[in-house]
Order: sequence, then C-alpha cells, then structure tokens
Amino acid sequence: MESVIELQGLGVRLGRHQILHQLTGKFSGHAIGLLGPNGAGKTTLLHTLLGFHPTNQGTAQIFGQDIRRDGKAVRSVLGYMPERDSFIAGMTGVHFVRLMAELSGLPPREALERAHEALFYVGLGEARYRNLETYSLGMKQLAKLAQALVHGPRLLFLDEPTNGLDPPARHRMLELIRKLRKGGETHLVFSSHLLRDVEECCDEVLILKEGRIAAYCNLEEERQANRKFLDLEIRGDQDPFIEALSGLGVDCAQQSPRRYKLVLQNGVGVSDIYRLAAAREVQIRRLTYKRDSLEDIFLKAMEGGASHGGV
Amino acid sequence: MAVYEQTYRRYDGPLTPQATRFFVLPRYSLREVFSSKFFLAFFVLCFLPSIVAMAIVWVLHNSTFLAFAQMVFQGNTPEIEIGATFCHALVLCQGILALFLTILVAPALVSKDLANNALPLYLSRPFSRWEYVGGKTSILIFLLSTITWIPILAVLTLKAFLADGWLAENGHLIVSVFLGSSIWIAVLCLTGLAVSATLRWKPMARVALFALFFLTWGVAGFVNQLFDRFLDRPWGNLFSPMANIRTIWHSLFEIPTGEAIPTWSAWVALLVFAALALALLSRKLRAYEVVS
Repeated sequence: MESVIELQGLGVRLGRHQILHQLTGKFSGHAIGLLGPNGAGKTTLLHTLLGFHPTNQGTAQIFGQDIRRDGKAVRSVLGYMPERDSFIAGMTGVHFVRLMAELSGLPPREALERAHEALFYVGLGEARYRNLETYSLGMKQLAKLAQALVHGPRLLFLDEPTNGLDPPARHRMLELIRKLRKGGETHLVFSSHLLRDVEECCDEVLILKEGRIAAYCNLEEERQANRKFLDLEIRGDQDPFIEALSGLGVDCAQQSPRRYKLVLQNGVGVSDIYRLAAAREVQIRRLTYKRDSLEDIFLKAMEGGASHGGV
Repeated sequence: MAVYEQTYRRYDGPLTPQATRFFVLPRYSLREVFSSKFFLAFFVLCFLPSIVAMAIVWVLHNSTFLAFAQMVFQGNTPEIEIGATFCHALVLCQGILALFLTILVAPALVSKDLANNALPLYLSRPFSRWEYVGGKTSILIFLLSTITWIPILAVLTLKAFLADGWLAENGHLIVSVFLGSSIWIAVLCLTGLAVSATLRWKPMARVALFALFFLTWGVAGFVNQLFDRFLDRPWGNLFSPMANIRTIWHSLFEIPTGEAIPTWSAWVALLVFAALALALLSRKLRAYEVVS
C-alpha cells in the first residue's frame, strides 16, 4: 500500500526549543489520528508537513514527495482546516470558498461551482450568501472544512475540528469526517486531544508526547486482533453449554454466576457460540467484544513516557 | 454534479498556470475596492491634473484658441512649454494623489487577512508568501500606475502627436516620467503593505502611513533647521521619503535645485527605507508567528 505520510527522523526547532524530536514512521491508513496532550507537538507536526515551519533534522514525505524539496507539489494535494478561527472578513461564504479554490489552481468557473458544492456538502448551503463574520462558531468550523476540501485534496489535515462545538455541531462534524473517510477518495489526518473523536473516525493513531512518538496504534488491527476476547452473559443450563464451548477449544473463565469471559481460538466464530446456545437451549443475554480501548492505550503511552521517536 | 447532491469528489479538471495564480488576489480585491463610492469618486478625481494637462496641450496646438488668446491678452499670452518642468510638476501632482490613494487602500490589504488568521489558509495551498506579497502589491501597482505614469504618458503622447519632432527632442522625458513614477510606486507599495501587515486596525494604519510620509517631512525640516549652522547640505532630508523622492525627481528631470543632498544619498535612503519595509513584511507575513 502506498504510504500517505512517511516521517524520516523529522525534527523541528522553534526558537530555542526543540519541538519535534526525530520522528520516524510510515502511515498509510485512510484516517490517521494524531493524539496527544496540549503541547505534545501535534499542530507543529501538521504545520511542518504544510511547510510553515522549517525542519532542523530529517525530512518527511507525503505521497512520496519531499515536503522541503517539493513543497508546492505537496501542498497542491493537501487541504488544511486550521484549529483557530480563520476567515476573510467582508466575504460571503461562497465568495470565500471560491477564492480559496482559485488559489489552489481551479479556473474561476469550476471554482464557483465547487464552492457551492462544498458548502452544500458541509451543510452550509442555506448560509452560503451570508457574510462569514455573521456565522456562528460551528458554521465557521464548517466553512473552514468547506475551503479545505473545495479543491478535492488527496489528503486533508483537520486540526482539532470539533474544538468549541456544541454536541449537535460536534456530531455533525464527526459525521462529515466519517463520511469523507468512508468515501475513500481522500485520506485524513485528524489531530485532536479528544480520544473518543479519534477512535470514532480513525484507523491509525499516532500518540505524541513532548514532541516524540509515545505510541502508535493501528486501530483496525487492534479491533481485528481483540475480537477474540468476549464477555458473555447467559441464562439457562450453563454447565453443558460451557462444556460444549470448551470442547470447541474456547477458554472460558467465570466472572460471576452468569457471566463468562471467553477467549476464542482460531477457526471458532461467534456463530458457533450462537449455534451451541440454541442447541443447549441457553439464552445469550449479552455478548460484547472486549478489547483495549484507545483510552487504555493512550494512558499507557502517557505513563510509559516518550521513549522513542519512531514507529 | 447537481448542487444539491451532497457527495464529495476529487477534482481532476484543468488547473490554472502556477505563475498567474497571484492575479486571483487583485481580481478579488479590486472588485471590493471599487465597490466603495467614496473611493470611486476619489479615483476619478485623481485624473483631474492629467486631464487639465491634456487640455493645455490641446489648447496650445489649437490655432483658433491661440488667435483668441492673442486677442484677449493683447499679444502677452502666457508661455507654457511642455518640457521637463511641466512633466515634473505633473509627476509631483500625481505623486501626491498616489500617496493619498495608498493611504486609502493599502491599510486593508494585508491587515484583513492577519486580523482573522486567514494567512494559513493562503499558505497551505501551492501559494508562497512572496506570491501573496506579489498579489497584494499588484493591486497597488495597478491603481497607482493608472493615476501616475499612464495618464502622464497619455499627455506626452498627445503632445508628440500634435507637435512634429517633439518626441525626438524630449524622448528622455518619457523615461524620466516612467522611472520617477515607478520608484515612487515601489516605495508606496512596500510602505503600505508593511504598515498594513503591522497594524491590523485600519484607521490606525492610515494615521501611521500619513505620519510616515508627512511627519518625517516635518522632522526632516526640523533637523535641517536645527543643524543649519553645522551642515553644508540639508542632510535631514534623508529621514523623509518624500524629500528623497523629490531629490530623485529633480535629478531625473534635470531641474536645478538650490542646496540639496546628493542624488546618490537619496537613492541609498530610499533603498534602506524599502529594505526595512521588506524586512518587516518578511517578519510579519508568516502562517503562524513563533514566539520563543
């Protein structure tokens, strides 16, 4: 699979402070999450990839192009939604998004059409002729998203996209991000300190701490790998059912009178459990996958310290 | 794709050439600038000196009018020569109007983007800082050229059309007008953008621009008076961009002046002034300011 972002010992110094320390890694997921506490270097990493900050060690590649040598080519395939309020006062939504599209190289007519489409896509269709300064915070966030994707980028940088949003607006933003990810036409880098948002939207997560990579987690693999751990709650004649499960090679540990923890072996699926339960006339009241949540991984990474710079 | 169809798709159509993308900025800005009726009125007013000059040139070659003037002034018609002094006066006149136009337009050019953190949006695209500066500068270059050297050259073209052999004798004036106006435009553009990048509040930026040109003029005069006994020349003029450009204009149009600083020193002073403005722009125009 083509790597989306490849970090090669990337280091960034701003003033007297080394902000990023020799970051190394290769990421090819459709939605890459950047997690970390405030000041971990998430935004600095995004800004460096965008060419806003010079590197003092190593380099990075986006879709195989060097961020320093091929800065313009790299930026032509990127869309960026900044964390802070960013707009041009005195412009209507459609005017603003069209300007941004034209700066990305779209001819005026195409830019106008795509500006309308992008604003409809993010849900600002009705407000597109209103001046940007009259937008609410949530609407401004959506306008920022519209300008980031109006030129149809291959990679979208979303820096804290849910910051300051009320629950419905946050839900709407996450829904849009999930839709973009599902569409598969664009890759995403989602920077946030909200674990739940990242967990919901990403399939790869890079956890930063003090400018170093504290942990890397492929959520998709994690989900796959931990599918074998199950929490089970049953009603009925339990012993024959448990015996039958053991006969299939499933490890069972009783947690409470009706609850068991199961570890499935290769070749044994959930359907086998349902089949056995039906045959033994046992009711399955609850069956949940048990896996490390991102929160566990994040907390472990934070406790463990940022020991290495690479993935 | 229909406007109402809410799907996302990549763009794979044609792109505009990279070299011409900075023209997007003047196109959008000029539309906004000309939407102000006050500005439009002022802009039209800026053509008045050139229109008057054109009328003078035309009248000087109109035999009916000349005969009428002979009759009115009884043979003592005022002599108006279309030469270096005339062109210098016109450049001076248009130059002052150009300064006022800069004070009117420049403060909003960059400050608007900086005030709302829009610069990262520009610079996250295949669009460099210097293309941004080029785009913003071209707005002022277009407006200032339209009211300075372009109408003056139109006056001279009319003169050349009406008077045979005038162009052969006065061709150097065309170069002087273009060069003199261009230097002034460059100074105004750089100063205007630098002030706009530094002061985000428009009225404050306007006051600062006004002070930068007129207050320094006053300071120059004050320094000249203060050190009159010790200095052989008015070296205080070095502090004033307006005094320096006047020295350069005098030199370009070969107009004799009394005591003046050498032309090279005025050039150096203006270059230092421009370099300072560029340095300020370079410092201020960043996607994000790094505080260490």
